[in-house]
Amino acid sequence: MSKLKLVVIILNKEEFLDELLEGFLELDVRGATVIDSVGMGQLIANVPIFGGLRSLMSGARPYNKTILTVVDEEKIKPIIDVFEQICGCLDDPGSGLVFVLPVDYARGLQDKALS
Amino acid sequence: MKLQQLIPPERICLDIDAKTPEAVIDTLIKALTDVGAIADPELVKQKVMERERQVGTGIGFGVAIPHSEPGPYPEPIAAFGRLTKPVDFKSPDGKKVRLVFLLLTPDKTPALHVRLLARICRLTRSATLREQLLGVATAKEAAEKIAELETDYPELTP
Repeated sequence: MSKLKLVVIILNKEEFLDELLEGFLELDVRGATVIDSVGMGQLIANVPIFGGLRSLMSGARPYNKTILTVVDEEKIKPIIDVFEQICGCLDDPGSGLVFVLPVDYARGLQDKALS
Repeated sequence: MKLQQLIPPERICLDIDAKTPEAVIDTLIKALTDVGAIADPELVKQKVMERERQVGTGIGFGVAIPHSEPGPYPEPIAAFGRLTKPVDFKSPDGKKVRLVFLLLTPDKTPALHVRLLARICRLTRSATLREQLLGVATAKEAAEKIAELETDYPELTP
């Protein structure tokens, strides 16, 4: 039996959100939660003393989307592949961040969820 | 499976001269009937128009994907049409449509329906592909352009 994982994606290029979700559908990832979020850099750079940090944040954008989805672990690589196909290499500054956590317990996951 | 397998040149109609979504859909259904892909064109039209009446199938960027809900089709079926004059498919961006993909999927694989819709949406987000499809001279070229862009896309599981 495959293991469930929580995939957390910080999508800096918000303009790719719809396309990324379409990519999820292609992979049969039918449920995800999308949260409007703000990077630390944006917040701290608004504190006057740290204003100079803005110029050091190469590729950073003020706002981003945080996407949460619980998937079977075999979907992790396809998800990362589709992210990079759409948004660019994760190693490039500003494209985003992906991390994956084990899920110890989950209820409410629906096979047919499109929430 | 990839979309390109469903749209060989004989299922591509360039320069459809139609004024309404219904006339476009008629042309594509006839093309699929002529190549033996559809056994019951009346049923297909009824189902596709039923869906079309619910909400327009224009997706924006001058593209529409008329389709029926998964139905009694033995396999996924698709056709591509290019219109000589833009037609209103009630796209969210208000833009009229010249590129049309007709999609029919079997009721035994409902998830594939969503995957194929998503694949067409993703491919046609490419302004380059849209320009190429508007500019190609032959159905074979159109099929090749779709296949070229889809090379790096993952296989869709049924």
